[in-house]
Amino acid sequence: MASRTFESINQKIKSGQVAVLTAEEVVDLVKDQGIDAAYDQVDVVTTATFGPMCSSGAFLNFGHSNPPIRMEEISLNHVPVSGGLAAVDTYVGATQESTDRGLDYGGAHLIVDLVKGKSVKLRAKGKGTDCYPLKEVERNISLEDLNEAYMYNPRNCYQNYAAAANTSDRVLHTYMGTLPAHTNLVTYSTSGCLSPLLNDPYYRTIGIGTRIFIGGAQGYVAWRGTQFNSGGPRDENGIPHGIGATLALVGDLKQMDPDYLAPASYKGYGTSLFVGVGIPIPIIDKDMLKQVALDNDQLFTNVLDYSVSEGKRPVLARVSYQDLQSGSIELEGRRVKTAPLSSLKKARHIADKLKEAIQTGQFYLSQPLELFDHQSGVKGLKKEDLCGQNS
Amino acid sequence: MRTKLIMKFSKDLSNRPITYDLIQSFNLCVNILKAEINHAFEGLLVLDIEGKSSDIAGGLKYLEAAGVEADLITNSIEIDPDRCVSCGLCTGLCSVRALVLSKEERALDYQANRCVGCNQCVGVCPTGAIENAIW
Repeated sequence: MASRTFESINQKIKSGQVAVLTAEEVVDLVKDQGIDAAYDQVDVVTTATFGPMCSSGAFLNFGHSNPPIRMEEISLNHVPVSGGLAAVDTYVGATQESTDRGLDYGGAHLIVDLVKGKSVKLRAKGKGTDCYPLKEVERNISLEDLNEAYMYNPRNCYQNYAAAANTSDRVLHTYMGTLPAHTNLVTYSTSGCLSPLLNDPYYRTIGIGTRIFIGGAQGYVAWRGTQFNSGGPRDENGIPHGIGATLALVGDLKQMDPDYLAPASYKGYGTSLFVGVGIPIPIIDKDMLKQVALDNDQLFTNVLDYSVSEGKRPVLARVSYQDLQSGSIELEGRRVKTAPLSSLKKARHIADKLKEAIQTGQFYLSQPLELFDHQSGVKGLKKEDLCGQNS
Repeated sequence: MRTKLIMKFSKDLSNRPITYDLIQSFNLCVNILKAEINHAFEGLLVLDIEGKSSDIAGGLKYLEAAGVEADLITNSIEIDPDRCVSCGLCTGLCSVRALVLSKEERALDYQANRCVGCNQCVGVCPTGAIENAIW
């Protein structure tokens, strides 16, 4: 049978003939019927995740006041936002904490409040110039008052995130949640076999320009994500042992739905943003089908010791997502409880929603304009030598 | 019946063996979930109690007469369904398995009768969905 193309699949979407399954459903279909028979029954597989993604944020444009101001120091609901973007543009970082409520209200909360249509307090100062004479402005604004508001997340959708444990004798408060001492809990954060890049480990269909579901809107993969680490070792199924690739995502805040976003505050760590992401994978050939048919017992990640804060964290175990999702794993010769950070319930809902949107012709696939490499590594911060000069 | 009882004591009462009386006079089976006393000698006690409904009612009357602020509570925590995203992080710190993710739906399932009111979950919930319902 000839390989399928994005175009041929979009034709099927248009004619209402497209066969779509979620990445969980396709596992069962292939187990039942095998690759050859299943190939004829599925054109697109929907993947999804709903997890805390710290490297997220939004660009906003306020419009000019009269007389105008060049906003240099800006806050929204007491959350400091970027003042380094011309006169009335800003970027809100999800992890930026407010100056009045600390980690209980941060950039993530602000972004979700905007999506909910709530009014937020803008305060801005500038030095005053001939072209921007105003020195201070204060307004209550909501999403509809902004010219543009779009989420741009520099690093989302880690391909394969490591699970976390704590072997030390004190409780640790981390972005992987509160980790009790003496390895009494393992936390993990992916949706396993539903997770987007675990289903397309060699980035054959997901690249720059891939249309996605993000926060309830249709958005795009904008670029490779920061700390893109595609060159590390992989297992026999092509799944990176380490964290692998990441994606930079973009989507219109004005089209988003607060059901698919949630602000988060992690005790002793800070704020983050749960982002709901769904990515369709066209089953362009049988190899692609084999990849998406991998089940949770074939997908593995490392458990790292978060009590080591300098240098590389030691790998305590290599475990399957099936074991992690079961509620406990075998670690250091005993059963240790597991708990997720990302919501499988929400991820499933997004995969179903995206499936329905494709089946009903509301969502078409887009072919990537550029594909990602398999050789990238990640550098640490450049070291400084003893003389104080960069080495 | 089995329920939870919260009692607040003034300074005058903190030396009186109230729990002993509940066991001795009302035949209640008592499990202490939480006991606190502050610098002003005001106390707080959360008990899991089991006994006949008539005995529990009798115990409550006794507490009222003794001047103890007492209340029966069904939930130690309240979960706001609009805020909860069923991430499941709280399940990791719930050692009595009152908070679990359901097998099929992977939705957060709270079983109030198992909860001992330790409140570990309140602090770790990233979306602020869990509140202490006792005080």
